[in-house]
Amino acid sequence: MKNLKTGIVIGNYKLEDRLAKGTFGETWKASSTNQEPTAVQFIENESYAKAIALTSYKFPSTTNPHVCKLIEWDRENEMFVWEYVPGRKLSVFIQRLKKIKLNIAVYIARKILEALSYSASQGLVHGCLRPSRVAITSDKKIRLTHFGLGALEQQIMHDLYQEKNPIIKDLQIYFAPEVLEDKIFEDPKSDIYSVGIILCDMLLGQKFARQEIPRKLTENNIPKNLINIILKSVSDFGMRYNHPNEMHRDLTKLLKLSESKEKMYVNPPGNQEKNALEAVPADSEEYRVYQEDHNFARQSIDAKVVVAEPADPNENEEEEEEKITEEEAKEQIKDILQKTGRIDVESVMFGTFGDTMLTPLEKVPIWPQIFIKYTIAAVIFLGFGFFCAMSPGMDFLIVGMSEIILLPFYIISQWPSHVQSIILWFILLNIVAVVTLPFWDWRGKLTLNNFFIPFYMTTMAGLISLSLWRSMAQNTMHGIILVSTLLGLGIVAGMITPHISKFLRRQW
Amino acid sequence: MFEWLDKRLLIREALCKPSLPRGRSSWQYFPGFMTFLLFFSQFITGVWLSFNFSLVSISDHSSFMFKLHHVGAHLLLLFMTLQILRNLFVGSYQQPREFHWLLLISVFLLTWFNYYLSLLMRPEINEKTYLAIKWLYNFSFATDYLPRDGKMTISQIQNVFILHALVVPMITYCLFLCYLWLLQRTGLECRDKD
Repeated sequence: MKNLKTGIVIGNYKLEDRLAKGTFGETWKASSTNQEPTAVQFIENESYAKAIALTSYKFPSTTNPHVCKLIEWDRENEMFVWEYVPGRKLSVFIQRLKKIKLNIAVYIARKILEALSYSASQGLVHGCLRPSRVAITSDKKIRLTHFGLGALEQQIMHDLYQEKNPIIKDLQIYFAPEVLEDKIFEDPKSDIYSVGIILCDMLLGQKFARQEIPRKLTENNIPKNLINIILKSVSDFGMRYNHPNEMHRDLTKLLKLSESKEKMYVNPPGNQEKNALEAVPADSEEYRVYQEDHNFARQSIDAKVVVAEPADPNENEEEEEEKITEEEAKEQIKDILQKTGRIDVESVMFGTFGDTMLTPLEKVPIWPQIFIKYTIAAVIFLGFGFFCAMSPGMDFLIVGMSEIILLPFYIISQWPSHVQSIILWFILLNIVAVVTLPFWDWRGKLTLNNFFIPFYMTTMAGLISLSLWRSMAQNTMHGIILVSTLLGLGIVAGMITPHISKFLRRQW
Repeated sequence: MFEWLDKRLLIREALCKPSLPRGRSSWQYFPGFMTFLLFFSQFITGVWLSFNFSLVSISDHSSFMFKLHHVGAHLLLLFMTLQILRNLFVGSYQQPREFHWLLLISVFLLTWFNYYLSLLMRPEINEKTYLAIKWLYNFSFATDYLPRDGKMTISQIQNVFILHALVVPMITYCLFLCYLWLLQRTGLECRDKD
């Protein structure tokens, strides 16, 4: 272990102040030769250092403004040099406050997801998110630190997990099971898992294993709708949100429900138009902690214990004032809820049925809605069936239906036998592929990724060119029409499939 | 009266479930709903036809119930295809829902098979149908069964009838009920139950 002290120079950096001590090493504030503040992270853990020394990993470059970028990776001194972010780590907030208010926790989670979403749009993931890697800056913004280390750290965590190394005991809860067990690295879904766990930490005030989360959340009276979101984010790989945006959308939807209430608590008067949770409120506990002496936080980091807050002589007075304002606010909320017809977020179950919000207290009859909406549509279709059956004038349609279904096979039967056998095997192959679909695409990614399109397009192009050549030689019009239709359909299907899939999944 | 029934059957409880997942009334579920309705209607009209339909008489092909069964079959195929596509796009076959998909696909393929069987249940088959069906049967390795002149004998029609009206529907409906039972147990939502 290096003997690190304030004032010594390592590489091009002069150490100034120790910022944090983590599982794998220490982080120091340092100034570069240009007098720019930086954060220097020293690796002390042997296996970690060894893995880093051996790797040929290339750090991704990103333009994401929500992350803290890597300036240098000094292999010689085994240190990473990061951009310095003045602020406080989320883990300190959790440690000090025990529980973070629901609206603030959701706000922080949303901001983390926004940062992740930006990265996902660049094809990058964070990979090693935990509360100590979320910085709340002095201008009240959220920034993710250690960005780019993810792929490397996931590999190391996987190895240490397989070795059952006790050093990762506290960290492993933030890593998704597929990272630790199945070696699935650099997947945005793993970040979503970490966000879910971080959100739990914020709401519950301490770490809990994944299995305990549902029970603990329920015991702590977290709204059912938020529990649902968290459980979806920490569920198994296949069931989890596919993209940070999906979870962000659900959290935003949750906020919209409580918008009128949050405005009361969070925004200062006269600024009602501003989004309720765009800023950490100045009168909140979080902000007060934030404003406190820097040394106090350092003590707690060094001692690795939670230091009790010093008693504030004016505390009682403040509490009384808060109580009064809160009661007033509640009364005003009741008025607003009555006027606008909105529902109190605390009592909302996350069920929406059409545009109706469902609450645990108020039972909404749902079947009438299904009947009205679906029955009208069903009556239209079935009425069409009845009309066809009743009127003799519609006979052509009835005959035409089977003709349309049989037409492709009739046309195929006119083609030479070798084309027919290709099509036969093509259909058989498709049937086998479709039947066994869940066994070779167990994550349900077929229509979301690019495999489906080239596979189908090439197979269809082969078939189409064969049959086109044949029908041109025979000069048969129907062959050409069919071929052009198939080609057009293939292209259109290839283009719209991922979009349809994304659209439907978002609703599901 | 309603109160009396509600006490015993808990109707209100069943109708007023408070915790519905999002988007249950979404149009995505409509093909499934229609498939369910049409399976029911096909069953009713099919049973009626099996008692009141002469396999040999061509005039019965223009009867109201026959047409209803005929149109219903096409609508069923349309909505089942939409339902399969929805499942594919949504990715609802992903684990642990493999059996949902297997059952759904089996029902789908059996329904199509039954549809093609139905086209053989007439005394004379026109040339286009004959060639198309022949190609399809070539696919199932049963070419020799079809008459070369397109005229089905009574015993052939009866054999097809037994398949179309008894054997295949029985398997299909059993699988369909299994599928519904599975859906009822796991729910429509893809959510971790742990």
